[in-house]
Amino acid sequence: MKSAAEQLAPAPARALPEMVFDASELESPDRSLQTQVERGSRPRIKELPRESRLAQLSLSDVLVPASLLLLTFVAACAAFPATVAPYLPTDMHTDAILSAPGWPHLFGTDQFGRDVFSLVVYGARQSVLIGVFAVLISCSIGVSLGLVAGYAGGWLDTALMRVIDTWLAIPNILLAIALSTVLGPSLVNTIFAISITTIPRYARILRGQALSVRSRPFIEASRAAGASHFAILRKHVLPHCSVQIMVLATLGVGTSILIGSGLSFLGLGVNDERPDWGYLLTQGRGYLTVAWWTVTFPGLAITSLVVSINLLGDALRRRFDPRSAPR
Amino acid sequence: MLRRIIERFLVSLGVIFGAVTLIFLVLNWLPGDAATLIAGEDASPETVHHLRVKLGTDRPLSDQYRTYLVGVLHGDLGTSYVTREPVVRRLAAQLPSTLTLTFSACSVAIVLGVLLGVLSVSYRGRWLDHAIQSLSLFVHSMPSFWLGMLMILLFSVKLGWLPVIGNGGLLPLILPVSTLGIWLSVPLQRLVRDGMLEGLHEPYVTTLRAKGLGERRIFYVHVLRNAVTSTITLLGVLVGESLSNAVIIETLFARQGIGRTTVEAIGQKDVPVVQGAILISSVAYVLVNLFVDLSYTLIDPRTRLQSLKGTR
Repeated sequence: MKSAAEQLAPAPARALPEMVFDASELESPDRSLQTQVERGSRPRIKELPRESRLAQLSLSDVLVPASLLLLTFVAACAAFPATVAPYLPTDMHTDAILSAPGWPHLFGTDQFGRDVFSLVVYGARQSVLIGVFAVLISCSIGVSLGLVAGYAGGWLDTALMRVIDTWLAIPNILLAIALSTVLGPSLVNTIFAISITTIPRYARILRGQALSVRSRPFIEASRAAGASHFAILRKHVLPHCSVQIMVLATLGVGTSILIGSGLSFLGLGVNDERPDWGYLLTQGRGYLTVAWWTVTFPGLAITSLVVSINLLGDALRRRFDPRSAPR
Repeated sequence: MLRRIIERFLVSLGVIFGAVTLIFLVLNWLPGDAATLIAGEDASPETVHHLRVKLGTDRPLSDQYRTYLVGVLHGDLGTSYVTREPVVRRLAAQLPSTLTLTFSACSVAIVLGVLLGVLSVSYRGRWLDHAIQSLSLFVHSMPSFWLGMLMILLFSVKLGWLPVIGNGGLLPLILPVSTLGIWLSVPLQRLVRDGMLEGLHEPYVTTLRAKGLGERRIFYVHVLRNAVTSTITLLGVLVGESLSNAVIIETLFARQGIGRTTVEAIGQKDVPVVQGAILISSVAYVLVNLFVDLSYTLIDPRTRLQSLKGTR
């Protein structure tokens, strides 16, 4: 059964559009209005008006499927590394130490004669786990904090935001470093350290969103209809921010993977038998001058994964929030 | 105006106090005891206890916190567990090197970011714009140390132009500074590009056009100036990121500095040094943000209006 509030919700917006205040309109000026203005004024300089949407669309039409394909491949590597990789990451081909990329070692071999391609394939799991779980934890906590602060307002908002400000005052990698130092290197600890570090960003942005939704008439209507604050947060405020959350979470996966690789590089990550990409880079660093392939391919793996994630995040933003400026 | 400055100053002081507390709690309260870590897994309980008394970690946490806080107020960040030397002296010796790196890197980032941003707007929709955009997406998605490794591969190994490591002189500074600078220029380039694209549609551009100003002048003088002014807001982020990444870049290029000292201290479980280093970076970060906030209030009168409405 639909609640009275839900039936009421869209009505005021339709009746009095000019009274509905949307904070996001302030940030990005209404594009349709611009087009009218542009049509009125003679375009005197070539291409001064807006970016050609067509060129951008066709570009992302190619890039989005490509990144989805790459993400699928990385996911396959993470799930079934044994099927994808030709060798075990522990196999040492002592007859082919530091051999250049070619056949049979596609990406060459490292100082122990391990096949770099297989190492990269087996390393995918760590990065994927770090990216996904760190975002799940930090996003759910950060979003809850932000929504509660923005919706509640008053002293609770002030108190929560002061805590968030303090949290943000410690440069992000440094906080993750401090946490990993105390907790010691392991996959779970790395995920924990990254989640704690990234919580405030979600809270900050979602707080702003909740703040702008909170004064909308339909919230007041649901309140009048007797909905509890929790129900309003869950059924009205949260869905209103879902696009923002989806985009933030997608981009957050990339950020988490990058922080994770940095921690690994400093020797604070996961460095047992299962080598992750950051650790491979640390290992290869000593052989930089003689074997470029030991650092090039693991780095390329991180970068291409994060590029795909960022492209996907931008595409999501454009698809669901066309008002936001094309980046 | 004066009220706002005082208000912002007090808030920053509060944030610094909070950060000191947070760092202390993270490094001292969480499981993982320095004495056990230093003594090793198989040390006898007596040895661990003895070490704990020596390091002062056997006292209750509130006691330790009080001592630490009083110390911080007197400019004393404790004593290193390993070298027994004051943390302040150890970090102060490393500070110039890190400041040189971060300051030069931020300058490179600003110049490069604004330049690329302007280029991509003036060649909007053409191949140069697409190239800059793709490159910035790529650089934005790579770990800073991998960018550094690629730079070493190209300029040191392949071309042999620059030394990989070293501390003295200008030459060894080029690679770390340009690595960090290029890596940090991406957000600036995006901000300038977005800012100018938005700026081109502002009503003041129409006014300038109406009074007969040339497009070139509008673009390079008025719109550009506004976009560049807005990059000041990113200065705080820039400093924070460069302090964070100094840890990684200094390790990669084997450079002296606070970052590398931190990493060494982590290896030795030298909690006071790690704590002091993170504290110094955080305080610097908060102060830069305060400075940015205040200077923006001076530059852009609109933000003053906001503070009157109490939106902060």
